[in-house]
Amino acid sequence: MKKFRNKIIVALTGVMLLGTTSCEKFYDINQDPANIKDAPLQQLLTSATVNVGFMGGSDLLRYSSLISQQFSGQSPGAETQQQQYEKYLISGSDVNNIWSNIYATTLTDLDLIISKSNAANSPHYAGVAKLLKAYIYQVAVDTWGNIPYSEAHKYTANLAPKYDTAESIYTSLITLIDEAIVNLNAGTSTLSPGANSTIYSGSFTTTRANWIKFANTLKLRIFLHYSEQNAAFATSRMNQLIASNATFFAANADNFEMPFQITAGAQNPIFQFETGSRKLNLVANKTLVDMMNTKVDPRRATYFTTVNGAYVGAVGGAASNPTIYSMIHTYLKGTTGEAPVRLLTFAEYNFIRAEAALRFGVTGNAQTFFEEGIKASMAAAGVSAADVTTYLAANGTLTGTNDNKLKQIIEEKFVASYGVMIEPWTDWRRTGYPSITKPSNAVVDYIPRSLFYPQSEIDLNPSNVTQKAGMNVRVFWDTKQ
Amino acid sequence: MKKLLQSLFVLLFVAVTAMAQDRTVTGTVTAKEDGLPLPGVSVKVKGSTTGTQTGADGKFTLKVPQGESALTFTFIGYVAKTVNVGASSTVNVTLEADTKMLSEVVVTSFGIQRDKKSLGYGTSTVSAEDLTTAKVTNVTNGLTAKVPGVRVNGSGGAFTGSSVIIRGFTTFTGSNQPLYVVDGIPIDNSGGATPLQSGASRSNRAIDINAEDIENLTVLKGAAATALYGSRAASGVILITTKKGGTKEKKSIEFSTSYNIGQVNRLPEYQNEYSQGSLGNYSATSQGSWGARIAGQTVTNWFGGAGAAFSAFYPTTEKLQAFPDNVKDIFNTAYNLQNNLSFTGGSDKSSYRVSYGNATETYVLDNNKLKRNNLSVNANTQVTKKLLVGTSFSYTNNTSIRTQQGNQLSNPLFRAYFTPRSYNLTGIPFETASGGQIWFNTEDHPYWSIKNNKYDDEINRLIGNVNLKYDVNDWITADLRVGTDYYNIKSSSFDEVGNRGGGNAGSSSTNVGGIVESQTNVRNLNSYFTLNANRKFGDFNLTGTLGNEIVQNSFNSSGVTGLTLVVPGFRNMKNALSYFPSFSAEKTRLVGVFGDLIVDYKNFFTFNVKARNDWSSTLSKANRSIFYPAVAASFVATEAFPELKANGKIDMIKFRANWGEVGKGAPAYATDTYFGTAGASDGFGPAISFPYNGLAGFTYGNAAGQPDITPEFTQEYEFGGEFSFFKNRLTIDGSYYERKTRNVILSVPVSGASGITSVFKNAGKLSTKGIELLVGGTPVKTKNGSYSLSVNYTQFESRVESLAPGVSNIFLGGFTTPNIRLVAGDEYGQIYGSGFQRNAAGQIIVQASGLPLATANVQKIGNPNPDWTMGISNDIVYKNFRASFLLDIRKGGDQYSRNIADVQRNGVAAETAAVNRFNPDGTLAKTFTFGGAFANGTPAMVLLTSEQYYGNAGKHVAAEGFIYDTSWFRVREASISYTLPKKALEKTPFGNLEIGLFGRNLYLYAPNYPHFDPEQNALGISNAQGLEFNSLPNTRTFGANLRVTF
Repeated sequence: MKKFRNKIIVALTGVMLLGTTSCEKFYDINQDPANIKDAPLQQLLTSATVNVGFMGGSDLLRYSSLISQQFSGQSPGAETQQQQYEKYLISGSDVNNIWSNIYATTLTDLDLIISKSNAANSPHYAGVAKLLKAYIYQVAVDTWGNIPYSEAHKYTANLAPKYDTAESIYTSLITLIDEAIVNLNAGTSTLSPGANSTIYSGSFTTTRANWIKFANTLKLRIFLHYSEQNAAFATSRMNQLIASNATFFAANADNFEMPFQITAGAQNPIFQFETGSRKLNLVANKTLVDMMNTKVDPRRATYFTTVNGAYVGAVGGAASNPTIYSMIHTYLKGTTGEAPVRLLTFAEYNFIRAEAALRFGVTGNAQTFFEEGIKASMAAAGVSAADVTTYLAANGTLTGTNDNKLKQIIEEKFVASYGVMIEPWTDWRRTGYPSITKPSNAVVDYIPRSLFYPQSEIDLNPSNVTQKAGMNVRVFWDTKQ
Repeated sequence: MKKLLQSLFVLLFVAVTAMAQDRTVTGTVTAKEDGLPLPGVSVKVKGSTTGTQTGADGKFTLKVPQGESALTFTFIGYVAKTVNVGASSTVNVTLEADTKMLSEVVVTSFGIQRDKKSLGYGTSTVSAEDLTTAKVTNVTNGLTAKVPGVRVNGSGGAFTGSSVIIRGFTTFTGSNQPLYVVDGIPIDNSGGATPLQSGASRSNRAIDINAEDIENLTVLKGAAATALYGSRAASGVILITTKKGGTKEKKSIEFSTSYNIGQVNRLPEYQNEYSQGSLGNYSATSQGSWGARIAGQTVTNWFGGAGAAFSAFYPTTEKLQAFPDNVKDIFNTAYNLQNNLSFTGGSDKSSYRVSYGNATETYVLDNNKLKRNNLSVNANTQVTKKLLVGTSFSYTNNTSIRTQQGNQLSNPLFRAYFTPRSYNLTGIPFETASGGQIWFNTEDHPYWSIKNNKYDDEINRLIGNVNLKYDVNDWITADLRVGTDYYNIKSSSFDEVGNRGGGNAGSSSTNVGGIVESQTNVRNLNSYFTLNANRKFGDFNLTGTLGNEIVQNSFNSSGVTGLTLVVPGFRNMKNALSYFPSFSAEKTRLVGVFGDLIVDYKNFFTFNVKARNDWSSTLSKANRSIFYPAVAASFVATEAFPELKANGKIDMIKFRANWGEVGKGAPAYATDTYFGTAGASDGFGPAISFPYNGLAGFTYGNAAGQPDITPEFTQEYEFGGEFSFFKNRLTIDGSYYERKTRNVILSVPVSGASGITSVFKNAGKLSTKGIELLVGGTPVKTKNGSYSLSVNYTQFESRVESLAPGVSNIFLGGFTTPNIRLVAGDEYGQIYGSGFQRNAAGQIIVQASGLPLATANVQKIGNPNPDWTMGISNDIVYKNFRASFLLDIRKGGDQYSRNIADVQRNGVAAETAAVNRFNPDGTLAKTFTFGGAFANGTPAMVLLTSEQYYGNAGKHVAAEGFIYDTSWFRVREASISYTLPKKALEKTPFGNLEIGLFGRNLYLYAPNYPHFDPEQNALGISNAQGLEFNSLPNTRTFGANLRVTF
C-alpha cells in the first residue's frame, strides 16, 4: 500500500511540475493557422483590382449618381437610405464604410505592393499599383477635398495622419503617375501582373500598353479638373502631354473598367444591389431620362427598363411608388451581373479632348472628339450603326456659342458617363452642366459640392480634421460661381 | 436555507421500513423553538441501523427490539438527542436548534468546500428544484430573477439563452459572460450572440446541459471569490455540481416527465378598421394599412393589378374585410416534452448515478424543433481507504432546426407583424406549383420563408472528467482532476431558389439560392491538481490549498458556401454552381499555480488569502505572467459574543469584507497582424467573395495586432453581512461592492487613413458600483405548512471611465442609427441614434408641414441598463402540496423597438386608429400634432392625419421616437405540486410520487412598452443590449410534470 501511495505522489508531483516548468514551446502557439503573416504580390493585386472595381459600383457611385440626378431613390415601403441621400441627407456616418474600404483595404494593399515590389525586383507591380493608387486618390480628392496622403499608410507608426491640401495631392498624383509609367516601362521585372489582375487582365506584354494609355488618360482627366483653378497651367500640361506622343485610349477596349462574372459572389455590385435585398430602392432619374427622351436616345434600350413602353424617370422627393418608374438596365447590370463597372472610358477621353479643345484651345478638334465620344458611348451601349447615324445627324454637331457647345459636350458626357462614379457630379461642379435643381424635399438649400468627412475621422483623428460646415464646401478645383 | 436543507433531507432519505420487532414505540417530535412538529427526523435505536423517520406531522412509529430502550433522534440543524424510553410505548421529544450544525457547505473554487459562515465573500446557490421549476431547456433561462447581483436577460426567439451579467460589466468588447464550470471542469458556453442581419440564431452552448442532472448551481461573484479560477473568471463563475449517488445510498430509480405548451407571450394590439393602402385609399401594393375604411366594398386586389401574373391563384377582386388574426395565425402552439430516467445508488465503497434525459421542444413557428438527448454517468469508488476515484461524464446529442431571424428579408417576421389588416395572409396562396412566391411585397412571404429557408444543426458533445482524491494523512489530501469538453457542431443552412433575402448564404444567394455547410470542433482540455491541508492549532484552524491548473482550449471551424442552386429544393452542396470555402482555427494554452490559505480563529474570525499566477500563450513572452491576489475576512459576531443570541431573537450576525483582483489575458492571435482572404462589400448587401473567378486574393488585416499587449485587471472590494433572526425565520444577506477594470484589452478603432482601422491596445477603465441583497423569511409556519419567501435585489451601475486616448466611443453593435456604444464618462452600452431636431427650449422643431426633422448626427437616445432588478420567490407548503411562484421585477432600462416602429408607421397598431381617421365628409381627419415650434421659434400646433403623424415621415423619422422603457413585472415562474402521502404508496412499487403543474411567463405587466414583450432583443447574448429589430417573439408556457421514484 505504501508503494502505491508513493507512486501516486510521484505521479501527481510530475503532473504539477509539467505545468509549472516554463517550457517555451508549450506557449509558442500564438500563430493563427488560418491566416498568413505575409502575402504574395499577385494575390494582393487581385484584392486591390477587385476592390477598385467594386468601389465603382458601390457607395460613391450611388451618392454621386443621386446628386447628379442619374439615379433616384425609391422605396417599396418606409423611406430608404437612397431616398435620404437624394435629399442630401448624407451624414458623416454614411461614408465611414467607403472611407475605410478605400484607405484600409484597397490603398493598404496597393501600398504594400509598392513597398514589396522593390525588394521583389518587380517594378511592373509597382507601376500598376501606383496607377491604381493615383486613380483612387483622384476620386477621393474629388469627393472630399483635403484628405490624408503624405502621412497615410504608416500603420501603427502613425495612427492619426495629417490632412494634405487637395491641390498638393493632385500635384503628387501627376508625379506618381509619371513614376508608374517609368516602372511599367522597366525592361526587367521578376514578376509582372497577368491574369491575376482583374482590370486589364492578361499577359503583361499586351496589357502594358493598356496601363500606359490609362496613365495618360487619367492625367488628362486630372488636368481637366484642374482647369477651373488654373486654366493656363492645365492647358500647357495637356498640350505638353499630347505633344509627347503619349498614348491615350483609342477604343472602348481600352476602357479602364472591371468586368464582372455571372456567378453568384462575383457579380457586378450594381446588379447585386438591384436584385438583392435593395430591390426597388433605386430607379432612373427624371433629369437623365428626360434628357434622353428629348433626343430619342437609342441608348435608353439598355440603360433603362420601360414602364408601359415608356421611359419614366423619378424626381427626388417623389412619393414612394417604385414600380411606375424605369429601373436601371443591362448597360449597368448585365443580364446576370456580368456588366463591367466603368471607371474611365474611351467616351470620356473624347469628351475631355472635346472640352479641352473647345475651351482651352488644346490640340485637337472639338467637333471630332465630340462625335467620337458619342460613337464610343453608343457602341458600348450596343446601339446599331444606323441608330448612331440617326442620332448623330440630329444631335452630333456642336452649335451656337462656346457656352452652348460646352453644354452639348457635357450633356453628352453626362449621358455617356452613366454608371461612372463621381465624374458626372464633378462635371456639374466644374461647368454647371447639366442644369439640375434641388429635390423639393432637400434638407439643405444647396446642391452638395463635396461630401462630409466620415464620422470615424471626426472621432478618431480630431487633431487633424474637423467636420465641414456643410456639403457646400468646395473641392479646390471647384471655383465656378 | 435551513428549511431548504430540511426539505432536501426529506427528499433524499427515503423512509426505511422498520423490521418486525418486539414492541412498537410511537411519538411526536417537535421543535423546541416553536413547538411545531418536525418532519423527516431520523429516529433510530441507539447503536443499530434500525430506524425510521417522522412524517409530515412529526409522528413516528418504530419497532424496538427486545432489550433496547435508547432511541436517537437526529435531524440536520438540530442537536441530536438520545432518549431512554424505558418500557413506555410512547415518547414525545423536542429537539433544539443548533446554529453550529446549520453550517451550509459551499463549494468554492476547485472543489474546495467551505462552511458558508466562514466565507469572506458572498456566493449564491440555486438548488436543482429552483432551477427546474419551469422546465426550461436552456439552463441560463432558469437563472432569471433568482440570484442577487446577477442580471439575467433573455432574448426571445427559438431556443435562445440568457445573457448572464454578474456584478456588472468588466470589459469592453470581450465577453462579459461568466465561466461555466461543471464538476470542476470549465466548459464552453460560446454562441448565443445573434447576428443582426443574417441567419438563424444559434443557442449558447449551456443549452447542452440537462438541468435535471444538476444538483445545484453556485454563483461566485466577486474577484475575491473567483481569483483562483484565474484569467477566465473575470466575469464571475457559475459552478455546476451534478447529481451523484452517495455511498450506502439505497438504490433508487427516478423517472420524471414534463410536458408544456408554449404560446406567443404578447402580440400587438391591432386596428381592424382600415385597409391596406395610403392616404385613405385602398392600394394593393402598399405595405401600410392607411387605406380605406373597411366596409365590405369590392376592390381590385393585387391579383388584379401588379400581381396579374398570378391571377390564376386568387380572385382579382374581393370584398374588403379585416382579418383580425392574420398575424396571430402565423403562430402555433409550441410544446416541450422532457423525460428523465436515473439510477442512483451506492455500496459501502462506491456510488453511482446513471441518467438519461431527452427533451423535445418546438417553437411557435413551424419548422423549429430542438431535440436533445443527454446521457450521464457519475461514479465514485473508494479504491483504498485513502484513495477515491471518481468520474463524471455526460454525452449530449442536440439537434435543431430553426427559422431565419434578424433585420433581413428572409426573416418571416421581418414585415409580417404589419401584414395589411385586410390581407388574408393565411387564406391566399403563397407559392405557385413550382415553388415561386406569390407576394406583393419585396421580402420573402412569411409562410414561404418558414417553409423554404432553413437552418439546422447537430451538436455532439462530451463533457467529462476523471478525479483522483488521495488522503496523504489525516490532514492533507491531494486531488487531481483531468477533464475535457469536446464537441462538434455540424450546421447546414439553405436559401431556397427564389428567396428574396439571402438570409443564410448572403445577398449573393438572393433568387439563385445558396447552401452553407459548416463543421466546428471545440476541444477544451483541463487538468488541475491541488494539495489541501487542514489542521487545528489551539484556537486556530488552518486550511491551505496549493494547486496548479493546465488549460488548453482549441477550436477549428471549416465551411463551404455554395451559391446558385440548379434544382430547386435539392438541399445538397452538389446542387450549387460556385463554392466559397472558409476556415478558422484557434488554440490557446494557459498554466496557473495558486494558493489559498484560510486562518480560522475560534470559529468566529476567518482570514483568507489567495493568489494565483497564470502564464498565457496569448501574450508575448515578456508579458505572459499574470499575478493576482485576493484577501477576504469574515467575523461572526454571534460566535464571538454568544450573549447576542441570548434573547433568542438573533441567530447570527456576520460581517465580511474582501478585496481581490482578477487578470485576463488577450484573445488569441492579438499580438500580430495577418493577411486574410480578400473580399469586397458595402453595407447594403453587395459582396464579392474569393476565390473570384478562379483567382485567390489576400488582403492586409484591418485589425492590427499588438505585440506589447498586457493583461487587463479587474479589482474589486466588497463589504457584506449575513444576518439571521427569530430562529432563522428572517435572514438577510447583502453586499456592497466596487470594481474597477484597468488596462482593458481593446481593439481600439483608429483613423482608417493609417492603413488599418483598429489596433489592439490596453486602454481604458471601467468601474462598477453595486449592491445586492437577499432577504428570506418564513412569515407563516404552522403544523401543516409554511409560507416562505425570498427577495433578491440586484442593482449595479457600470461606467466607462475612459476609453483609449483620442477615442470618444466604441461601437458595440447595431446600425448607423440606432446603435449601442461605449462612451467615455457614461454608463455602459448606451443607445445612440437620430433624435428629433429640437430648439434651445427642448421643443421639437417642425417644418411648415408640421412634421419633425431628424438630427443629422446620432445622439444618445436611451440607456438600456435597468435601475434595478428584483426577484421574489414564494414558497407555500401545505401538507403534501407545494406551490411556488417567482415574481420578476425590472425597473428601467430602455430599448429601441423596431417592431413597435413598424406596427405604428404602417398603421396597423390600434393607437393609429384610436381616433376616426376620416372626417364625416370623407376627408382625412387631422387629429394629431407634434406641437413643438417652427424653426423661427414660433409655436407650432400643426394638425396632422394619423398617417402623417405615425407614418414614415412623422414619428418614424427619428430613432428617438421608439425608445421605450422596458420596466416590467412578471410572474416569471409558478408551480404547484402534490406529493402522494407515503401511506398511499405503501402498496405500490413507488417510493415517492409527485405530480405538478408549472408555467413560465404567465403574466406580464410592462406599462411603458406596448405591443411586444420587452424581453426580445436583436443581438442576443452580447455586450450590446437595448436594440430590438424584427425579433421573434418570447413565449409563455404551461405544463404538467410527474416524478416518481422506485
